[in-house]
Amino acid sequence: MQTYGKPNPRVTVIRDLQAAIAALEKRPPALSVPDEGAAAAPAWRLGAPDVDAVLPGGGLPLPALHEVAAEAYNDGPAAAGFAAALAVRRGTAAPLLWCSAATATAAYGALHGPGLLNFGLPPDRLLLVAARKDIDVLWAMEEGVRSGVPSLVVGEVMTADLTATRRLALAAQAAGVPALLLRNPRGLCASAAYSRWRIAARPSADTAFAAHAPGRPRWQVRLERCRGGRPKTWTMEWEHETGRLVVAAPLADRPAAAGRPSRHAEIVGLRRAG
Amino acid sequence: MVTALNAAGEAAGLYVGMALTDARAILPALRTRPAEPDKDTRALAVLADWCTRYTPWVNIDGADGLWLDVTGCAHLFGGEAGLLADIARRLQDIGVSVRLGLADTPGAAWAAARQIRSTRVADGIVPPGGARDALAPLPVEGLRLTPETVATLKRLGLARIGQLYDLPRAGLKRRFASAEEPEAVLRRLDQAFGVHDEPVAPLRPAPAYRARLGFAEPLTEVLAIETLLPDLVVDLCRALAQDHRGARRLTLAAYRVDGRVERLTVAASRPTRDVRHLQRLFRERVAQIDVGFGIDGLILSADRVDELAPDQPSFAAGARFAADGLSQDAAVGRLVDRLANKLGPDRVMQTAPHASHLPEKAARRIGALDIAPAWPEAPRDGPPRPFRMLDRPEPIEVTAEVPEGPPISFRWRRLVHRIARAEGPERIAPEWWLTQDLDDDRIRDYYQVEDAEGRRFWLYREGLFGAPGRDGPPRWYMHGLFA
Repeated sequence: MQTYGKPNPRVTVIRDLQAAIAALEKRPPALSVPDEGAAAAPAWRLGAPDVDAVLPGGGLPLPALHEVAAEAYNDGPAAAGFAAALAVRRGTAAPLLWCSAATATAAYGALHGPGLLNFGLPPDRLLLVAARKDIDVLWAMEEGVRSGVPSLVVGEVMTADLTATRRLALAAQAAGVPALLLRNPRGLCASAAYSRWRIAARPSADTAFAAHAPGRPRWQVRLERCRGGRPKTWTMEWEHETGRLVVAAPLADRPAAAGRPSRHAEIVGLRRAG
Repeated sequence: MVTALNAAGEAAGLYVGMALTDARAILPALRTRPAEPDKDTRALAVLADWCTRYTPWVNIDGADGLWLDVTGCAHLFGGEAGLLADIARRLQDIGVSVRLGLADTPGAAWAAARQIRSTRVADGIVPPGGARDALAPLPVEGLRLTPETVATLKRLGLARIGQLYDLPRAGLKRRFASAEEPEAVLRRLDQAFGVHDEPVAPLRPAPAYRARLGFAEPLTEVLAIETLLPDLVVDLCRALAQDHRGARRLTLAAYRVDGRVERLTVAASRPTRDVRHLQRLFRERVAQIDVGFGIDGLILSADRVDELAPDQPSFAAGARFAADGLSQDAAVGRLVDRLANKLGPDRVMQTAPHASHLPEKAARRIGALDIAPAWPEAPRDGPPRPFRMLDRPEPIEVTAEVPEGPPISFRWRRLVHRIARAEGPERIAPEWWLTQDLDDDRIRDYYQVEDAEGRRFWLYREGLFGAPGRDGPPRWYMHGLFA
């Protein structure tokens, strides 16, 4: 393992290899070398410092493909909400291309202008594509990305295979336009996306005015995977007035690794006392 | 009865209009087929379409003829003789026998086509100003007269057109029983010699801008069309640029060797003459062309054009589009064009507000580049509106504590949701001032509810308890979903 003082030749070799792979994949070098080239591209910040800190470069890279999927079929609207929140975070004047396959519209309905307005996403920025099939959505997304016009391209599909996601990822990288694939949890498979977020709805908190009224939308946001980032789960709320994602509360079912050391220490203490 | 004959039949002495039994008696080996005038008409229409490869001005003449106004077109095919030879050869290839006449006026051309009996195609050409001489030896049937008028003329000993030239006009009138017949004869004569103008209207409106390509060898690959497309587009765009015009709709017509025409139409949201853009619009659709046994001609025409000022690259536009010399608006327009041409024009939309209290009418989809009314600023404490709205409300089964209160659980799409939070009702009355049917006055009470898992829905109860409703007790519907 790494020793201090004298540089370990094995570590330098690994670093060189990682840099070479990163150069081949055209991305900032990965986790173990965070100091090099991490802040090259302007990042897409979620606005919650806790979350942005986990992402390499302090946010999601813009010229890339990202994926959002619901944890369960019924969380579809929540996943779409998170995608819309990311779209608001993108925040430029250029239009936002939102392509939906007929399956998504049949399941959850079509985007509703007044609802988007309430959500904080200006509907006049939206360019909507209602495609018949997934393949048309993917084509429209690629076309949108390659044109370089939209600020963000969102596509709702049932499924997309590795080839399709690879195409989109390369197009996004070349054109500098981020693409967001909103996938159905039943159609998940291997993907070339930079990151994948899994979203589930969570019961909202009380509002100050009405005790039993639904509060702000609250989601469990799980970063399932991200190049150069660690998987993690948060509970977040969407503040539509400020257009920010806020980490709502520390999570009850935190991954076991985080809680273990302290409990272990307690047990050691007990033994000493006994 | 015999309605049509081939050359061999005519040579045997048969004629159109004779009884079939007589024909059989003369020629026992005669092979017959029942006449199908409907199919003939349709075939003629297809042929007329095919002839637009020569000129956009094509129309159908009667049951067996076509008009082609080839003014200014003949040089593309090597002169008038070349043009006729080309038509004759290609039609022969697809099994159509044809008689051609070409003259200064439609009348003279008609006479030349139908009455000059010659195997040489070039004999059908009446030289400019030579109609009088060329028509003189032809029978009077060549004047497009009714059979009765022809019979009268023959009875008078006037069998050839030339015999009519020197007759005093007033004297001719006296010899007929009615006034119309001599009128018709004289009008047809005047039309044949261009004294009276006779316009030929095209079947489909003639586009002002066309570019064409013909091939000696038919193309059998769609890919080949794709590679030739740039030439056509460049030609057309050059013509458009000269007149400061841009195309809004273009048609690519591919002429198949079997006499059919494949057409491909693309539309642009704003007038354009950008070569690259137009090429891209077509490239995505070219695969739809059915080349059949091959294509030997391509014509690209601008069916709809608009004014378009000369290009002026804008410096104010974002740097990203500067390379293309495009403003952002123009870049968006191009993206919309490409999407709409591939997916269909009604599939690329924007959402626009609409002044209505009914939630399903408060927003509507309009064309992506239409001028939309502006959305208001986001409301601070407006009533909740769902993020997504179902196409039509779906009936749900609801349990409520009190009949007029919010539900405590509901079943939607076979799943039971227990409600943890609810807000409402928001009462929305129907638009009674719009509906004709006064009974259709069911009031809706909307609730925003959240189930135990945190999923949010927008439900409504239609109708009132105890009200003299037409349709019995109130019903519940699912109308939308929140993020």
